Amino acid sequence: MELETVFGLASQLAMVGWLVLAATPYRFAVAKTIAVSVGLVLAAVYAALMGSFWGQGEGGFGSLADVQALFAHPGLLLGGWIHYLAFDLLVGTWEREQAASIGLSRWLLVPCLFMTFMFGPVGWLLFMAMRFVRTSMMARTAEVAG
Amino acid sequence: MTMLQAIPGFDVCAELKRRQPVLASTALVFLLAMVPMLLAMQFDTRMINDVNVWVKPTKFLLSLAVYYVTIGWYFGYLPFDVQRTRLARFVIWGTISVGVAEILWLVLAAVAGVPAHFNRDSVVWSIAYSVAGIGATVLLIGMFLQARLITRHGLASVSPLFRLGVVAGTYVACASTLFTAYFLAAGTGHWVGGAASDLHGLPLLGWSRGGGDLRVPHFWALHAHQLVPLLVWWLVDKLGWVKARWGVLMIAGLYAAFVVGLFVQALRGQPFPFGLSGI
Repeated sequence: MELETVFGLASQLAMVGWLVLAATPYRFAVAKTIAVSVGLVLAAVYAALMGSFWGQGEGGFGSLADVQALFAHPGLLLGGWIHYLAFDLLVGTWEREQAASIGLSRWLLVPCLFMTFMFGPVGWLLFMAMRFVRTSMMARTAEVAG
Repeated sequence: MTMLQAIPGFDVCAELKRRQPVLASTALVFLLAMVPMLLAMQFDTRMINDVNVWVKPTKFLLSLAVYYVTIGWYFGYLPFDVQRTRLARFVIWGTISVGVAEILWLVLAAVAGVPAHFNRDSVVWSIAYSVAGIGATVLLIGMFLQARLITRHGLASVSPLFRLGVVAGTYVACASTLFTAYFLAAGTGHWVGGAASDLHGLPLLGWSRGGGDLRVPHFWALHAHQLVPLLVWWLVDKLGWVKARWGVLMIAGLYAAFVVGLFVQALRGQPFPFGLSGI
């Protein structure tokens, strides 16, 4: 199979996961099942790519130059890309679950999901900040009520 | 659940899980692990003996899954308490551990693009091959011990002749596998005569069609574990043709003779099944 085809299919699949996470209400529990299933498929494809091309690539993880050499191989580069897709989506799934449990508005969750989709760790940082504010609010409310 | 129950074979899977949940889920994991390997075959063009490097680990995953399903199923012929004994826990966890190690070895060899069996190219691969031989022996010991447990503690609710069939089939499998596999391992490859390539092998199984292949008797030897009990069940419980212990033992004996025949056929350099060169 052409690597370009795999790239296209993997990106579309990840997109389905993100749309389901962002566009459905929290009570739609199947969203998590769908996103995790997409994650499973991406992980299997990643494993297949690494198994196929690891022995053929140059370089390694020891230095920046090594990593660059590693990603010079298109198969390993695609593997690295699918690694992003899979882990970003799983972080997004976790964010949604957390947001539901602390009652964070979906209007606040969606920008976090978007940033996680585009810039991974930035979206996660954003979500952690929102969760921090939200939980301190909840603690304060509990204090006042108590 | 109602949706799942509509899937054919659901009852069998549920029954397997009831009999031995750990082996049932391990078998499922091994089957699912075939997915990345089948995908890898789409990307990877490297070959060993003229077939894709991922063919061997995929076949072994399937084979080990069948093994775990079989011993998991046979735990149903024992009282549940027996599963808690140290011996039974060894049968379960010992075989799972070596199965995982075996797959790890085959995957690492596929990643490196080198042969796993008969690889004496370096000290590390050479040691790994020898250790894998010990692992395979543990798989045989596991089924042997289970057969002994069935002899001693087998459930009275299971027909005695069928129980004998399970035990006899397991013993035939152990003895004939020990012989065929060790003979195979003592050589330098599985071909006898014919081309040293798996290119034009039988579909799925890959056995040589141009000459003898020692994997043939090894395969049929190992699967006495399932086939002899299946034959006994069919002839005793289904058709009622066999009504005595000697009949069951004769089925096992004839099966062993069949394996010996295949072994001789392979040694003579003749391909399975008819001894006629297909290519």
